[in-house]
Amino acid sequence: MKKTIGKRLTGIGAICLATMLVVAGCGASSTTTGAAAGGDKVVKIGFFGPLSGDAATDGVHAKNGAELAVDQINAQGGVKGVKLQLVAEDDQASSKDALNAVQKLIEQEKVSALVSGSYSGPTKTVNPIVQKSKVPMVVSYAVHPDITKGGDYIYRAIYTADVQGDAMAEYAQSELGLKKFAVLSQDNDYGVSIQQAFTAKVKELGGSVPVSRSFKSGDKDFNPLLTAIKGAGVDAIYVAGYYNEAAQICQQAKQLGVNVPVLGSDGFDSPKLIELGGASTEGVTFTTPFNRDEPRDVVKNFVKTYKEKFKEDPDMTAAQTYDSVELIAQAMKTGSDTESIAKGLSQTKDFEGVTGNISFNAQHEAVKPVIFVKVDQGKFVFVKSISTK
Amino acid sequence: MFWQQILNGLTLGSAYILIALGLTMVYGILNLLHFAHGTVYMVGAFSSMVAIIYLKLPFPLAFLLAMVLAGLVGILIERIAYRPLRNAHPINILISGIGITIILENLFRLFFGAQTRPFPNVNLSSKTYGLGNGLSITNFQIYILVTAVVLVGLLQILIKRTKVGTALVATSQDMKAAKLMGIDINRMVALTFFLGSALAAAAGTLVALYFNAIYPTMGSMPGLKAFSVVVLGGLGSIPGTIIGGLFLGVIESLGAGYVQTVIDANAIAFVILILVLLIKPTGLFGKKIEKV
Amino acid sequence: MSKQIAVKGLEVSYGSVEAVKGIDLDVENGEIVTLIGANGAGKTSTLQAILGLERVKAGRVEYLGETITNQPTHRLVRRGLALVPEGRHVFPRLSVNDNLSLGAYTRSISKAELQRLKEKVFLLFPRLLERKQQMAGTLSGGEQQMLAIGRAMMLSPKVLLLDEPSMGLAPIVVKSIFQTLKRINEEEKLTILLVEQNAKMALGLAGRGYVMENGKIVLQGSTDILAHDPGVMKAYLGL
Repeated sequence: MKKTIGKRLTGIGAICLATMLVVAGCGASSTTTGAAAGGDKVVKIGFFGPLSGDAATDGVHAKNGAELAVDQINAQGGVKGVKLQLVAEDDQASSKDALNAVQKLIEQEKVSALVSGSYSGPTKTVNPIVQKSKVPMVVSYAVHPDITKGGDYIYRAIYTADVQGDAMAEYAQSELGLKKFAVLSQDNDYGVSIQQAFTAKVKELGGSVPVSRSFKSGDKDFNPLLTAIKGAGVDAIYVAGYYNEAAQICQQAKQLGVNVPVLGSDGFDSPKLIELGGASTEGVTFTTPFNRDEPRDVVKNFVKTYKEKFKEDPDMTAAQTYDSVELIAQAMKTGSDTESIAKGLSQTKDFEGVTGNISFNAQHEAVKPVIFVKVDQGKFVFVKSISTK
Repeated sequence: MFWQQILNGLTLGSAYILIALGLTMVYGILNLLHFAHGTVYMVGAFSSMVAIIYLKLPFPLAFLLAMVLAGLVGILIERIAYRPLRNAHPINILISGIGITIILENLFRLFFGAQTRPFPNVNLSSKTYGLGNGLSITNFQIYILVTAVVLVGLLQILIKRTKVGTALVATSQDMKAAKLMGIDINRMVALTFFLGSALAAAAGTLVALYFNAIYPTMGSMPGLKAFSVVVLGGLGSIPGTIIGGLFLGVIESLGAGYVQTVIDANAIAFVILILVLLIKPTGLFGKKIEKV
Repeated sequence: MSKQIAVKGLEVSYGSVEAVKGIDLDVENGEIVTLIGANGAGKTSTLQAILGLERVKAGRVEYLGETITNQPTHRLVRRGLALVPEGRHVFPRLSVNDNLSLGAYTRSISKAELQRLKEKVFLLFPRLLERKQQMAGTLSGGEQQMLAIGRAMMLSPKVLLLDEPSMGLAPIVVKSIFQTLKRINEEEKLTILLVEQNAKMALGLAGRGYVMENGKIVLQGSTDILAHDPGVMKAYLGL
């Protein structure tokens, strides 16, 4: 009875305000870089990735890589006179947002090609509409096996989960002599697919995985998992996950006195790993497609120009996305419509990217070397490179 | 390894207690679910970081400054988001709290970026002390445990032994009667938000130091967990919150340590929340409803 | 004699419902005035409006000659206005002793003075002394009413406002409480404004009275005259 009309109105006002904020908070905005509408013929390339949210580091770096590639291609006059324009959408690493982003890029922006700068989950989700719309897409660094299936329009610039899972299992057993592994995997398509490949290969080679646990993106407390690992007495911990959680795992393992080597997947490949994990990341070895110390000109040029433009060292996602745009540009040489680009991509052979010489096989998967990198005195150091089939 | 998991759980639980006390105190005094409380935890961690990096304060001073700053932010949240709605429907208040959460998280994202940043270097390196039998504790865990004990103790002294504490208790028991005692209700509410927010800031800073990670959404999961703790302990009951926090921390640690991927550690809190709501809605230490 | 409280043209409403429709009322120094009327007549709203617990929509409230309309409750309490609310509102999970201490919350007094005030209350209500460490919520209704009055006395108020102190209590308890009110009024020269449904008891205690119906004062005067008014006798005294 004491509720006055005025108060009720304030309440309604608050709901409206809150709703507006929710909408404003979630609303994605697209950013456009590259050629402005001028006299030149312009082809739009759509990009989606996590530009905000927990995974923003990866998404922003991926976008940086794509931007750098577009700028450099345009500066050289474009592809046969055709300039590129990058239209970037934020998907917050969420499948729902990725679907909206890709729909917008295809239907409103009418892009001629797409670049996924996002994770496996979102990229897998957009697969059907991309295949159906017949817009060619290059996947920069999402590794789930299913991403390229179901049509001829999706190509992947990185090897699949099983390639790096297998490679690490072989390296750890035959070269490092480790037999008993604890596996911690990120609870998403990326982590699970790598964990499965790694575990299968370890068992095939006669090793064992007594402990295998999963964790969520954003988890901070790994003490319970590591305590269980400590009790199991393993030779090494293999983490199929990203740098944020990996840094916590390294740190808390040291604190708990779990003094076994930590091995990782390409999600480790970010300067953030060392920044967040500090000294505890010393000696960590992981697989990656990108060797920043390689003496090839393309790599040196990429590292130098990236540093100039963005004031930081490039990481794996930047390198992969840079290559993805370059692959599309390469494919455009025979024509800049969607069909020509798709055809061009299918014929890619020994393209020299910053992440190695790339060819696409019949399954639209990149064939290129797996690189092992180790943290040594606070720096990523090249260990070895193995070629894959 | 069982005792190690218990120790991990007690550390985690201590952090939960520091966050949940603010929620429980606010509920006790205003019967209000302070949804934006988790963000105050984040504000506390960022305040410490800013104080260390830009004001060049030593860690203990930065820690105290962050508690004060977050306390003021708490007061401000009450003034802007809750006071105008004091007699409105609880749903409106909840939505207002959600709105504040989104504003603050986005504001911090705008200023500091969405990425996880390391806690600034404060010359506190992690040390591990063996306690025998494979049991070990780190200095950061000790900081969290000791800080929780000290702050909860100080809060108890304030509430039980001071005049203003009695006024706070009186206000939570009967707001109308408290007014008739000459107690300025708005000041008591402000004090409650200040204290609760300062405790959350202490937790935010210590957890950020412990995990070496600061990011704008860091408060959302702890905020939700704190809700479970508060419901578990009986809404508005401080002893209940303390027991509830330790209970949840230990259960989560044991669950994550022993239960093979059947259930996610984060989900445990919410499973408990649902069970409590179904079986004993007043929580472990809930006061009986005295009047309608 | 000076006016302690003067109410002029007071109006209170809840949304579109008008509870008090422009009443005048005053209480002079040292007297006991009662405001009687049926449930829902607007008596409680009038008291709450004087104390700032309800918003005054129109009209004016004066206290000691000063306008205090719509001032916050806690400030009015500080200035010596005490209200014993309807339903007693003791703090249920605090001891009798703590309840009494809170009555003197706004006063900066020494521990000894606080103790002296409590002893005065225990003299008025010896039952409270026996229950000193008990939680207030465990007291009987009559004891809670004693505590509520005793707690108000801790303020050493200039005016004591009481809202339905007889509600829900056995007649013998009501009688004893009213005797104590009489005693307080005589010994301390305390001004009292008493809102009651129990017209018989109220008219017996007070010197002057107001009769309220549907938000308006319909009758006023000395309690002797009111008690013999045929309308009052029929409506409120059951005669």
